Amino acid sequence: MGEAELQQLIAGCLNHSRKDQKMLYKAFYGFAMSICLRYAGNRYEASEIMNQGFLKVFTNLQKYDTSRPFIAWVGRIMMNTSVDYYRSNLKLSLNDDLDAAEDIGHNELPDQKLKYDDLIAMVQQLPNAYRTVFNLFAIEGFSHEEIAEKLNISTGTSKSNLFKAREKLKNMVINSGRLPDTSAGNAQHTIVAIGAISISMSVLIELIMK
Amino acid sequence: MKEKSENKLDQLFRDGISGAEDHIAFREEDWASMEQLLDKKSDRKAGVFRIMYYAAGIAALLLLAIGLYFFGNGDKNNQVKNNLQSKNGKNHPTNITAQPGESNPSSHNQLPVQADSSVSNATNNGQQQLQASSATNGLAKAHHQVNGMGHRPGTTTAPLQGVNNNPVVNGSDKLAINNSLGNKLQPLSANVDTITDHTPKRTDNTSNKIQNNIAGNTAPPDTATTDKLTTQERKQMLAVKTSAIKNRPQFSITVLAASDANAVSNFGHSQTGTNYGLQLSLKLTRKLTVSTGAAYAIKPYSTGLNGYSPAYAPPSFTTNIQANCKVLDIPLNLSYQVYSKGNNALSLGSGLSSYFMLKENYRYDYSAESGLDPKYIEIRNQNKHLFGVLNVNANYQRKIDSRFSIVVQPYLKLPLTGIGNGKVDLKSTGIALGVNWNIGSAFGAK
Repeated sequence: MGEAELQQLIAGCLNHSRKDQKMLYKAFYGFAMSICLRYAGNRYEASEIMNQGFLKVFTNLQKYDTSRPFIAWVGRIMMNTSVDYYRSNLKLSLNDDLDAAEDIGHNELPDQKLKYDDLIAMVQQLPNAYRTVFNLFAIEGFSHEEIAEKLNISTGTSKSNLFKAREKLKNMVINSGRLPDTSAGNAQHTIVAIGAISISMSVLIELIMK
Repeated sequence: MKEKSENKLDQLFRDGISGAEDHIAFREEDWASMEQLLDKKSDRKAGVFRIMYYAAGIAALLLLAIGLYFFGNGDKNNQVKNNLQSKNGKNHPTNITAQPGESNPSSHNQLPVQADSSVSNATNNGQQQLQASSATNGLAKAHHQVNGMGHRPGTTTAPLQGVNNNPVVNGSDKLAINNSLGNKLQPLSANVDTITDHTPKRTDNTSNKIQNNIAGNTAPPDTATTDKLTTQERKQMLAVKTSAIKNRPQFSITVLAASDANAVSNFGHSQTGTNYGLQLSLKLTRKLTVSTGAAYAIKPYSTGLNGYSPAYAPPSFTTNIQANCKVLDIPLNLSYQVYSKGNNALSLGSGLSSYFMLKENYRYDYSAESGLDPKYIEIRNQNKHLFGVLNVNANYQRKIDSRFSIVVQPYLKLPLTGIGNGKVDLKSTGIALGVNWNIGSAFGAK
């Protein structure tokens, strides 16, 4: 989308034109959703967060500083909305075993390329508190101090959540590499089944012969 | 080694996740819910205006009540004056206008000042003669006697002369004025006594009253009527005085406990909640009472997705939302007494409540197909709805003794705005029972 076209859309949105709002929404849908998907637990929550973020975009459009890139502004709103979602709605799911955070030894990761869908599914499987810290630290590049301030937690909690997130993710990545093992297991089952059938067939033939 | 491993993991995800926008296809249903959000926002704006509209209405009612109370007292004082004036004659407006306009200024000015200062003298010195003059009812005789009396120094001579010497007043008017003076001086002195006895601060007004009385009394009543008027006026003065005491603001405290039905949208699927409250009432007039207080309410309810629309909506496969909210309810109500007989009184009231959501617990139940466990959410002190609930209530009181009475209060609470995290249309209806302690009468007994 060209800059002139974007400015035109923004102007239309400022005039509450529903058509322009939809066009802007559509134009930034993929970008916004990609952010929300990695902060959210599932696609439903991601949609909720994204729409809430877009609502902020539409209602605060007059505050947008045109000298800065619009996409960065939208991205920041989506990230902040995601963090707010975590903060207000997910208090209970934290604090379970934060104290048990330990520095666990790490093995080398298998050298493999994972698909986007697999990676995002792994991130979404993380508990909310771990996922948020992992996103902020590993993907967005914030320091533990900044994260602690953003989430209103201690830097220690931030660090421990990050370690736990990494630990869980690493296990998932390693396990995903073991997929052939499970197929081998299936083959064994097949061999046993064929063996059993052939034995039973021979027993049957013997009986008939008698 | 470890650091390298961590970085590698981070990098794996950073690289794998970035540039994902191309993977994500636009979904029309997401835009549909976005449109709903945008529409809701404008609804919410309208809701704010609606609340302001109701709040303004209640505020206006309160102001009116307070205004009526204070001006009501003022009016009673005026009423005393008016009574005195109107009782004394029908033609007084013409006389009042005639006097300042047509009489010579010096004699007119003399009238109120001297009359004021010499009223007591008049009662002592001139009363007998004046009474005699009025009793005869002879106009000419009265004229002479009043004129004669006017020559006595230290009595009401000067003002009376002032009137009589008025060159513009024609003969018949003179007679009327003289007669009126004669007839009025006795009740006048009585009035002055009454006023100075009961309301010493109002002596400033007596000069005007005397002026009006003198000017106003054109019809010559006989002594019997005069006496009757005097006693009537005395009675009225007393009545005003006692009613002023009765209408003094009276405070009362009510302790209430209630059980109510809470429901979203309709009461078909309501759940029972409890309330404990303290209510402070101020009786503005005999019929009008303003009350406020605080109540701790436990409001459980359950709803489907339809009535529940939080900032972050639960997923579409949510089958039920079970909520339990602890609410601090601060009401501001105005009630009007419609019935009062013996020990029983019934009043109807309305007003607005502010809800402070102390603690909100929600449980989202998901459909069996989703295979998800229920999700629990707890929110503390995040939502408050200032004047967000409309109260309608009836209040039945039965007196036990002069201080205490039993209160039965059926009520209905209708939200003007979405309540709590889910912005639900949470209605409550129930009956509160309690005891009312009339502090005002307790002080009065001392």
